[in-house]
Amino acid sequence: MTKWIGSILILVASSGLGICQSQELKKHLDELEALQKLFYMLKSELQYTRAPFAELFEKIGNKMEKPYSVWLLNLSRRLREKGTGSFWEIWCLSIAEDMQVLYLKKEELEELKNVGKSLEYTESLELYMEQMEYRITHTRKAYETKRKLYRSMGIMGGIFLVILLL
Amino acid sequence: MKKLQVMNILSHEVREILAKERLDYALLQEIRLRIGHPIILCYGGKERVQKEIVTQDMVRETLDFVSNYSLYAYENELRQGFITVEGGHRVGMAGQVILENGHVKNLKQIASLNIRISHEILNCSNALFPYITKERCLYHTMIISPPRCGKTTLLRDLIRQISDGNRWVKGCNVGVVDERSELAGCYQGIPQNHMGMRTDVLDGCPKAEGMLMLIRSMAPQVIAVDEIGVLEDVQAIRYAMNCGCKMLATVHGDSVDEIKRKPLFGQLIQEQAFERYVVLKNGRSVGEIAGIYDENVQLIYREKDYD
Repeated sequence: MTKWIGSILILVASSGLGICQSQELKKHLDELEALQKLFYMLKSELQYTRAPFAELFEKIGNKMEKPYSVWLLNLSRRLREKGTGSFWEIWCLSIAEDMQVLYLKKEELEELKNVGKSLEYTESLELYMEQMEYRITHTRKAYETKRKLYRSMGIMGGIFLVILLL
Repeated sequence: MKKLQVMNILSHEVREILAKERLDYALLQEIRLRIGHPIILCYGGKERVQKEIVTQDMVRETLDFVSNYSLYAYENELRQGFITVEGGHRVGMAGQVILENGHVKNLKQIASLNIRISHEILNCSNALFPYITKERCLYHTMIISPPRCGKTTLLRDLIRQISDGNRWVKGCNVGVVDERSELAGCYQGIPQNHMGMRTDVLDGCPKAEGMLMLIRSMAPQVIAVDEIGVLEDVQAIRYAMNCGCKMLATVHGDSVDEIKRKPLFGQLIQEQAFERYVVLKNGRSVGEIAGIYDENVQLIYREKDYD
């Protein structure tokens, strides 16, 4: 009896692990897409209103969901406070503090920091958005192939372990 | 309040230097920052040279604060060479000019900043009202003045009093076309100077176009513009007068005769389009009235002892 209960537990745990892995990929993809949406909004606001950054970030922050809203609203507050440091330093600091809980990879965070160096230029925004588009396509493909793989690996791994232990 | 507004746009280092000076901000007129040279203050009409040298970082940080880290958002203002900040203070800039089709597009590598502290003088136009109103209505009035004689300050106070109303004039809707953001000192569209409760301001708008826009959109009873000078302005003034608006305009000049000789305004004066001419002079004090003339250019008022 205990053997059966143990086997079921192993199966449940290993397939759960597989599902978790595929979920992480999904969240990563969702985050990239949300970031892309944010930059689309930023680009059109910049082109249309030419309003100062603090105003733009506040406006977009109010439209976005957490954690992007928190990041943008905090950034807008920091800019209004006029502390020390250049715009880029404030931008990087806000990313380091408010964007760490995400599934974004290290190099994606670096790219996000770098785009802050010349945010006011449409060309630079467009270049960043092209990079982002490439990453999204790549991540989506990876998600579609790996999702099934992770799930079946989870179940198969569990069965294999059960057989081995029985 | 004024101190806080000025401090807010200065770099931290400059703030510390000025804090040591214990300045009375009512007397402070200008702060000049030029990279590689000492900070110079214009204080109570006198120049005060500080020993601290302005660094590139000081100018960069001040520019960041003035533009809210968004210099791109002030392209139109930079084309004129200055940005108006909260409180109506003006930050003039000089650096390398970027040209597009032979016209100034923007400024880059800004090396000099001149922060001009705005000082409005309330009630400075009181003496004028008995001469430029009739039955609590304003005459078409032209203010003629050489530079730095207080014509903008005078016009601003006239607008405020006409808008709010006083014993000489009934409060009425005033439309102001503030092409250079000098009159209202708008910050994010909101006038920072007292402009009166019935005043609508078109900020940063070309005068001629702005006057027509105001007539169409805000139905003003009085239209005020500063420093008219081109044919389009004169045409728009005629149009506004035909629409039943009272005009309040300023123009650069020393006397009515000088203005009369200018082809642009000569005809206006001949046609008696304006009913009152106020001439300012910088004599003993700024904003001294050298004379008020009627539509036939006959003197009707002159400040005492002024000959």
